[in-house]
Amino acid sequence: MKSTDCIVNPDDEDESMKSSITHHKMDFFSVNSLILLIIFTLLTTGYVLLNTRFGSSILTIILHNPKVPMVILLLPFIAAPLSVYIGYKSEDYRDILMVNMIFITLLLVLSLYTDIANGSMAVVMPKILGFGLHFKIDRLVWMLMLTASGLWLMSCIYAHNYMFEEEQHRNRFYFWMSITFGGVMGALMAEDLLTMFLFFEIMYISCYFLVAHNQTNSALLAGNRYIYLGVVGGLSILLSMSLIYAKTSTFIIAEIGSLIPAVWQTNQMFILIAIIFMLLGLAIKSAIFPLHFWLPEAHSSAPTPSSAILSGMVLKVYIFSIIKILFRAIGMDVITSVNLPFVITTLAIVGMIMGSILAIGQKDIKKMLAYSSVAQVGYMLLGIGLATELGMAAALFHIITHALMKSALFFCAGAIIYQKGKRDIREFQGIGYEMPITMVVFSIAAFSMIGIPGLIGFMSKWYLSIAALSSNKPVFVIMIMISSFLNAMYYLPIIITAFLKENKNRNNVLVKDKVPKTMIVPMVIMASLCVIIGFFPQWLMDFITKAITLFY
Amino acid sequence: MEVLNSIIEHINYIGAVALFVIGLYTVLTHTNLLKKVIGINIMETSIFLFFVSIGYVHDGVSPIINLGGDRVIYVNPLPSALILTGIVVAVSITAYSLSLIMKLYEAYGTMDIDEIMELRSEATNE
Amino acid sequence: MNNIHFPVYILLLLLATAVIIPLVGKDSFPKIKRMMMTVLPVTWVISLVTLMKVYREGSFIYNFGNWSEKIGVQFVIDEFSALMGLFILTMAFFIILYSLKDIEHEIESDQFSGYYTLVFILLFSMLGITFTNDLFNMYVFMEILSLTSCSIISIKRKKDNYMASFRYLVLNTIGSLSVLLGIALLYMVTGHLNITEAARNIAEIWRIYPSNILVAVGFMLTGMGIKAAVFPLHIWLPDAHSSAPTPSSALLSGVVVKVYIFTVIKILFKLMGINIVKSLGVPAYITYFAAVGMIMGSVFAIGQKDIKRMLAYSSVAQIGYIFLGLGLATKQGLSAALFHVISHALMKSALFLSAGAIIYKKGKRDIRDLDGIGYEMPITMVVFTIAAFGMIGIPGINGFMSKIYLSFAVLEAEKPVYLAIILASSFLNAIYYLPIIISAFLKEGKDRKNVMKMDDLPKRMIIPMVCIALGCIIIGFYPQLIMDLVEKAVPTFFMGN
Repeated sequence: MKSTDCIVNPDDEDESMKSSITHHKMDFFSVNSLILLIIFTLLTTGYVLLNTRFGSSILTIILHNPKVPMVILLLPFIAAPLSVYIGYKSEDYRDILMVNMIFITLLLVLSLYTDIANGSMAVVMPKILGFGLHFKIDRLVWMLMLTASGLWLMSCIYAHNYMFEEEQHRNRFYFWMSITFGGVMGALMAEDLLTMFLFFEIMYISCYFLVAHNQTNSALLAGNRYIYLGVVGGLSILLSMSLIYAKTSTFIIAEIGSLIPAVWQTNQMFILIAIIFMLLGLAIKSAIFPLHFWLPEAHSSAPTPSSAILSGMVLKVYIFSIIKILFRAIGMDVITSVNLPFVITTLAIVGMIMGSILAIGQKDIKKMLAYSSVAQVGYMLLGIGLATELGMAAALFHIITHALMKSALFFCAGAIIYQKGKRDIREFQGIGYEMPITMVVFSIAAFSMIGIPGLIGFMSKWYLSIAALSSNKPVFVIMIMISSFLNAMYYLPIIITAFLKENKNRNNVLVKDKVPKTMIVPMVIMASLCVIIGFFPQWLMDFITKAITLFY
Repeated sequence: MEVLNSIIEHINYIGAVALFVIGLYTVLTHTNLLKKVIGINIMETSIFLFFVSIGYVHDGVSPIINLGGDRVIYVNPLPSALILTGIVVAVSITAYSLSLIMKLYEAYGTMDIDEIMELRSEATNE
Repeated sequence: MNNIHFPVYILLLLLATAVIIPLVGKDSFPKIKRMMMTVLPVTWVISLVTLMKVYREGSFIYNFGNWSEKIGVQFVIDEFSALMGLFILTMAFFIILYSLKDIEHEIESDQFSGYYTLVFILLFSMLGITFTNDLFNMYVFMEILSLTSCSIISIKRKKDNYMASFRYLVLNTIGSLSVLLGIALLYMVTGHLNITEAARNIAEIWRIYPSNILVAVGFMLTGMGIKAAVFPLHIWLPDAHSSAPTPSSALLSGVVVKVYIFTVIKILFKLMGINIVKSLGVPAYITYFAAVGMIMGSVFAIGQKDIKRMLAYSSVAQIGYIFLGLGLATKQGLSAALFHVISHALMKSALFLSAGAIIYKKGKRDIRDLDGIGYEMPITMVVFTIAAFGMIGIPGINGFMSKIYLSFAVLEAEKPVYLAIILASSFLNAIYYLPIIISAFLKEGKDRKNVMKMDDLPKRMIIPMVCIALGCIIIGFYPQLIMDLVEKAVPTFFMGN
């Protein structure tokens, strides 16, 4: 009896191994994701329906809690080591933990709305790092936090199957995913320079591990470039921080903002050097054109779910920080008196054009998408450089837009890699018949990038053009046109090959994608958001416009 | 003449400095480990000389009660007492360094630092 | 609890332990272990009580045998020396706890009792230097310290150790002699060996004999510079610290070098007084050498293949940071320097201990062989990573806070050039620490697949490492824990002015 047991048992184990590898149609993870989706829809519809005085008063009582931002901040840092621990027991449970953690964060972020609807919410963690950590959540920060947690949720759902098939060392991946999430949340909320710096550093270290995750030589090389430049950028921000502190004796952005005009009168050189180094550091980290050269390698060698968040959110955090520092800490007067907007817009234009030109030459789809990010960063920078409220609104609108579009594109690229194992865009003939859903999503996002009306990308270009015209700079509109044309030059061929060229190996017969639902659903959600907001942009734009008035 | 006088007056200091320089020169230039130790000893001696001679008071007697008779000028006894400790320290350093040299000689079969370095670089090259 | 003799008890306990250890017998290592592990906490508690007493009742003076300070030896237990005594004992406790297991691997079993005798004499002399207020007494303690640290290096019976030890001994002796010459010159003009008395005299006569005092200070600082491995005089350090048994490397790099820095602080600010030092132009030279050391130490570290040698060169750079803080000759500078003394001790001992764990387990010292080691020894490598990030200056770890404080001190003193040097040095730190972390966690090992398993290390080695790493993080997030204490200690050096 004993011996048969011994023989049977390993077989059983094999069975269970196989089942966990092949993933049944309804595994734990999908069920969990489905339940989350249902809860989310119920909650939102419930809130919308109950959005009476009664409903909101109940919500206020339940949700109005000043500790919530701390919980949001700490959750990822607690979940990260936990996920590694659980990951050794069961990979499914680890993924479920991550998705639930991010979902809870998402709900918590949503619950903050009652606090920030008409103002802002400040949280202080005294004494930490010697000066205390200061956080402030206003509408803009809230919006970006919501985007970030949504994006992370999608990425983690997407990553479940993708990572299982494509990559090794998944525990490490989820660990750093989670830490990056915490870093992004912290950096968005940060109200003083030291806090900002703390979370920047957390972000770049964790992103390094995402970039070099593959452990191939090229990934390690890209990672090296990323981390050394990150260190240089960090040190230059530190330099600037110290200089600013030496003159104002505070790290808090609002206080710096009120002190700078006086300091500027006496110490022009000092502040100017501080601004230059601050911008230099942030420019390295947010890949502004001449300092972008680390980005394409880094973002393309990262595993796809993390490429999506790197391009979609991490870059934006730095750009948002530029906005925060320039407009709230340094102040408009100083910026205009050193002609900074001109510098920024010039860099932006060059980046917009050059990023797209470089993207045209790329054969690797993920690299092409990464170069396209360089160009898109240029758009946001252009909006900032106009130094008007309209421009800023357009830039922020584009931050959201680009997060949606670029993550959809990366998700599609990942799906192609998952199913076909192909990264070269010249081998995509007829792929639209093999993976119709993926390629439709890709086309929607790509058309949006090019700027086809009805899609979200068009609206951000529209707002940007209006902003440029209203500050009497029609040249920029032409530049936006040229850049859009260049976008078309590299996105359209892919769509054309996918749908209109015959494949060498198979006939173009329409079949369903052989990609798991956990990957399809995030893509489709992103694409449908592109369309919905593309048709009703004023929802987002009104929110941003109101947020900007509260931002200062 | 004045120069000569001052030299004679300060002969102890000059001697100490000369010994110090000689000792330092020996330590730094000689390749033989034993000579280095001797150089260190010379340096130590120079400083002891210097220290003790600080305590000298012209016309003073050794500070023992009633030894000097009616005279009340004593030499400063403190430096001499201190240098006693200093000599003990110096001896222990010498002893320790000599034992190290013995070990090095056992290990390399030479007391010349250049040869030891050569042997070591050969060892690492292999 | 109100005993004035407590600091002396600490010294006596340590000395008595050192004497008793060889008497216990060579074969009964467990007994020795038990004894040490009772003596160290006891001394730690006494030292803590002393510190509390100092905070409650102010500093006090201990005259040995009630001799007057003109001829007798005097201890001053103030906020500074009590704090640093506690710091030395804390670090020593963790490092010795670690060494109990690791040392079996490093030296032969008949040397254990000899080794721990030396370690306890080393501790004794370090505390002596910290407490004493007498120049000659300081010199004697320094000689004991240098002899014991040389012996700790040469206890590992290898050719390299003998050579390193000899070189260390010769240079250290030259350093001590130059300090002694400086003391003699000072005694010549002041007639006092007691630091407080001498300081009072110097304040009166320094205008009459400025060159005399300058020469004396020059000799003393050069001697101390050799012992504390300030840049051009550091040549003995990499050999000595890398060939010593690992726990001693941690002790030497983390604590012993710092003790010499305490004496430099005492000489500069207590003996000479800040105004005199400034008008003699000493601080400027210190900062020059410090700045060169910060850069060059790191540059040398980049080229190293041996992990312990690399850490030793990194110490040279870090000592540069501390001296930069001293050389600013301001309160902020001194607090930053003292803060860095403590934070560097934590980081460097964490680094040495984790390097030691790698050598213990894998026998590998070459940093090119460390591929994938993060999966074999995760706890060790996480400790290493935390400490290395601290060195680079990642916020949340104490190294960052010392950089911030140092930057503020530099800007406060209106010398922004040094800020650039601090940052350049941080970048160089990144260049040599990051590759190790990267290869440990992101490269496949040659002999095994990267599958995570727990470190196969004795608990006695893991616990001290983890405690020190936690200390790095806690101080990194709550630097006031240390900074408040340090800021209480700093004014003891500025009282006369």
